[in-house]
Amino acid sequence: MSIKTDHIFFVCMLFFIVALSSCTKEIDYKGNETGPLLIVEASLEPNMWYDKRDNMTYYGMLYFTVQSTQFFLDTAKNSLLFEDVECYLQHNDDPFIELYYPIYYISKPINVGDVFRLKVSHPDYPTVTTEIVVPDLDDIVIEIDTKSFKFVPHGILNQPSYQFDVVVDSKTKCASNNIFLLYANTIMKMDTLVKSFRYCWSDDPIIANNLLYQDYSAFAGSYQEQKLMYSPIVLPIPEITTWPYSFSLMIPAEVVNYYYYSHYSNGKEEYWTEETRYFFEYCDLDFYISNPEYLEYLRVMQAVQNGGASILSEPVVITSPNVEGGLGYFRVRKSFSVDLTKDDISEFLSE
Amino acid sequence: MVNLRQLYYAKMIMFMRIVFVAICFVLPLVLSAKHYTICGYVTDSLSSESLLSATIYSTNHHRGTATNSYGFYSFTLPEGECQLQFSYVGYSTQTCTLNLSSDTIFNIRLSSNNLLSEVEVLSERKQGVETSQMSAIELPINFIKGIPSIGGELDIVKAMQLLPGVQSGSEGQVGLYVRGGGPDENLILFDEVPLYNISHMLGLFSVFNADIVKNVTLYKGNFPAKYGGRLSSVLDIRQKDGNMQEYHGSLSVGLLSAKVNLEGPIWKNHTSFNISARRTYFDWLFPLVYQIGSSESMNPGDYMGYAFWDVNAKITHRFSDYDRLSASFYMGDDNMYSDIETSDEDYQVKSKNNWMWGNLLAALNWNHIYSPQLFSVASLSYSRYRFSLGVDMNEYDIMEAIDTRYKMNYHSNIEDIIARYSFDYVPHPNHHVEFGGQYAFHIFTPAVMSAYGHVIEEGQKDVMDTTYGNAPIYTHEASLFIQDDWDICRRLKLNVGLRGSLYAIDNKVYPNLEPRIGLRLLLLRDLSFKASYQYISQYVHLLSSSNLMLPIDLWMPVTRTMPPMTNHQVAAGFFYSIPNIADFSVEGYYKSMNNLIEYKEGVSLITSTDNWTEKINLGRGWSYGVEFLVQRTVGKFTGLIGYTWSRTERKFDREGMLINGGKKFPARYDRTHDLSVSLQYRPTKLIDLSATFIYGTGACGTLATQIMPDGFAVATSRNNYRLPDYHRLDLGINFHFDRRKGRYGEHLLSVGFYNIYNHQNPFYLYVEYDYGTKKRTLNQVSLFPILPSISYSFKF
Repeated sequence: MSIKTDHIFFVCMLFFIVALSSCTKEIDYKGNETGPLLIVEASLEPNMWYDKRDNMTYYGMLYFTVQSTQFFLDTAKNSLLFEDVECYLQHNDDPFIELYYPIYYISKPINVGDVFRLKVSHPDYPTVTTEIVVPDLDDIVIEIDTKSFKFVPHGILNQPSYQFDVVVDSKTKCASNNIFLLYANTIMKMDTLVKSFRYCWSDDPIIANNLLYQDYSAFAGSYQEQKLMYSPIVLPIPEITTWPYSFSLMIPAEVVNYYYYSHYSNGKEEYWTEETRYFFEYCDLDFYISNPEYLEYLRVMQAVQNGGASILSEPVVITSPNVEGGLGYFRVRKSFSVDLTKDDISEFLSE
Repeated sequence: MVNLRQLYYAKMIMFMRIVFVAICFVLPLVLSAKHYTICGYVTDSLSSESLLSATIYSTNHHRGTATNSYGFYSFTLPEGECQLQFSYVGYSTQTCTLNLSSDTIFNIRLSSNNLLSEVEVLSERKQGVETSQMSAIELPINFIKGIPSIGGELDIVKAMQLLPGVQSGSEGQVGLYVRGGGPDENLILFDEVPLYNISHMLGLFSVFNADIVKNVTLYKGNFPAKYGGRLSSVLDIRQKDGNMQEYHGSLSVGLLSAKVNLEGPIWKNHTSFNISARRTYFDWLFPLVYQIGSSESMNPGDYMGYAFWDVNAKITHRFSDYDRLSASFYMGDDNMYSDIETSDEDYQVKSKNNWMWGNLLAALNWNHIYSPQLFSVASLSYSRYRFSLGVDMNEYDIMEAIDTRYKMNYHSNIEDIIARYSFDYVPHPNHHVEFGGQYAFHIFTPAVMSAYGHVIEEGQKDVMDTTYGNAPIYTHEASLFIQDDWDICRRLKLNVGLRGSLYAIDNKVYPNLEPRIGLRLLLLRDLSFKASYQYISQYVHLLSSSNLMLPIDLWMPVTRTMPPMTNHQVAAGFFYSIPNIADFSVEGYYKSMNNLIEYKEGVSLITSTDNWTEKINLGRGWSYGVEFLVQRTVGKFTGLIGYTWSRTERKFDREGMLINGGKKFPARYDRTHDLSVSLQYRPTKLIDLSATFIYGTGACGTLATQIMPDGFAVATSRNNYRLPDYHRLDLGINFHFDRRKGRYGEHLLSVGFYNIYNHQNPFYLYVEYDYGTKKRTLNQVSLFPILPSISYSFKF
């Protein structure tokens, strides 16, 4: 290559490299938000009972947690739980009362259409106000159809599973503006190692939109608690028009976990896997009736966990339909539970 | 009794209708003096290239018309002497006197100003003021060629981005965002054939080779009735027919690509050809760049690279003054590939990858003059966009003697076969009617994957061979259109059009009637007011995996559950022309769009067409703004200044389809201010100077600003953050050598600088977490610093 050609080549290369190079620099944030927000997660459970100690009749319970987000440009903190917030509750047009504990028993009757307002404030955060109108939540009966119980060799994730029908009935046909959620928590066990698998599968019309699981595991005698993601398995049932309502559900009978190991030996990396097999221990089925705002909040949170944090996913905007000034939800809920043990399953399968 | 009365009223209404029709159409014909029609083609004097939108003006009758998309005009005037003035930007105006006593075919040839001395003869009447068409801009191709560009690669689409109301996507991209619409809402027509992918090199360059382009017109609103199927704009690009007189050619070499063009007569004055080819040399440079950038050199026999190429060709034959036939062809591909082999003492791995995507267009056009008043175009065209991805991996375990192979091929296609017949009809001096019909057969093959794999161990061979994906989707689209450009009086002009379309898919038919109306009121000789309304529907959606234009983006038709997108647009504005100085316009618009699509929140952007409708939300959108344009296309000093103030919003609040909690949010390319200044100055015949300055409010983005207790970062509203403002200045200089008489050919050396003051414009943002300080920082990535460019071309 002649010197002249060399020069031309060098200039071409320089241009080419410059053209493909990119520059990165730190910039100032120019958004509307400037700080963290409070997250208020409040639940109101209408449920009448008589307390002998107080000689009082209570009509429901309010419990809530207050946490905060962290503004993304602030230094990371370890704890985001709050206790020094001021909380006030208003029932219809009654004056606000201050709440000193995260649990409050309601001593006035709760009727459909009643309005509850919650106000949470802290000097370092915008004040949060949230409001809920009590929907029509009627009594629910939830049962497992034992005759439908069967073992499926290739069920959830192609692994052995149990399949059965769940029947839900309402005495007075719940109002259609409520939402229905099913939380399924299956506990699996291998000797001392216990896993709580929060997954199950169901056919339409129940939307099984999450197959995540998180666990509390105990290993080698010491109890290790992994951080539990805000990801209850929620199966929102779009709309129940006919009662009783029946749907099919599948839970794992066996789960195999593979652990991958690698090791350097003689300058080479070796890989091997170890298989751990867990067996069904018991299952909780919790059926909830709640308000639509809560479902919307859950939908968004699940979208965040399902992929919203990835750069390859559409951005997720967290919405709190009935919370102003912060994040979270204020829901009214009723729950009904069914437990399913290993013994129950043996019995059902033998029928 | 009641029935008789009803019959009477019905007859009265019928009678009044007849009277109205007679007043509008028949009486002017009957009452007016005897008229004759002059028609013909306006062409370039040297090349016989037809000139589009050339102006024909009768100075004694104070009437004007313009050539159509084929350079044809038809002008009906009263019997007797008429003085006709033929003018076209960059050409000398010719005046002819005719004595009209019968219908006449009168072809005229105009001479380019380049051939004249210093005299610049300019058109006196400006189309922008006269025509009832609004929201349309035609950029002279010579002006486009003078605009400095990345790597010296002239780009028609990027020139369009300088116009008010038109925005680019990410920096350097050829995406068009017109009046708040998305890049899939533009109908890009290349010789009247729709083109689906307009970019090479992942969006950095457009597929249009400027050497072969004759005319570019962008409609941002008030679409002529013959156009439909896209909501936001129509970009009509026409290829040159080729020189019918003599052979010419050009050769250009730039930093990124080289191109060659050849045109000439096959049969002098009857048949011409024009062929052009372009290719990059990235693939040749890539191994060298790899060696510079990487400490490891590539193995002999290994290769990887990227290249694009395209070929344009056109043959035009003139049978007579009445019949012309032309065949156009375009083919272009992008190809990214690698073939790499690695080995050690245990394994041998061979890996071959190949990505390929590109368009193929072919069109046959027959122009026929039935009578001086009736001109027709019949066309048959084919358009295909294809994308394919091939992976072939072969691993051999030397120790265990296991041979494993995995081969995968993914491809998607969209094909259109279109037949069209349209007419230009001038029944009366005051009416210019366009009507016709079109049938299109679309074949969508969205995503087909075939996979093959085998494992050979101890003589045993396990094979997996399967093909899966979506079956082809066949859809039919038929449309009829009619439009009348009606000179009601000298000051008032009305353009009324109607387009009826049917789209059939899966036994479901979507009918749509799309009215368009435009009005021009001449306030002064050089000042007019225009207003327009249009309703448009769109039957295809682009499933885009990001805001970059990637080849994996898929076009999908409407479905039973996914209705067509629709758009109502109203616009009004003033147009002012100072003859021989500049044209001024100010336009305001308001658009309301329905059934827009967006992916659901949290859906992965790796596009999968399985149940794609379940991943999509339907919503509404609004866009409104004001556009200012000053354009000077004549003289030594030319240029344009465009400014837009606009707002674009989206709302997805349908049940189960919420985005941003159902609240309104700004669209990603909502830019409040957008300013473009592009100036060109030719002090002598040997030098052109050009400068382009662009300023725009930063695009919107969704930034996760709140960290939840579980560690996930979330945003509290959609598009809650604006990128920093965008601005840059590009400079260019062209040296024309050997333009003196007697020298053979013309040499052009172009030197340019993109982003001369090296402003770091935002391409995207990311958040970085420092585990030491436990702090996050917001960082901006910029793509193009100052980029010098140089190119050389030779014309003969």
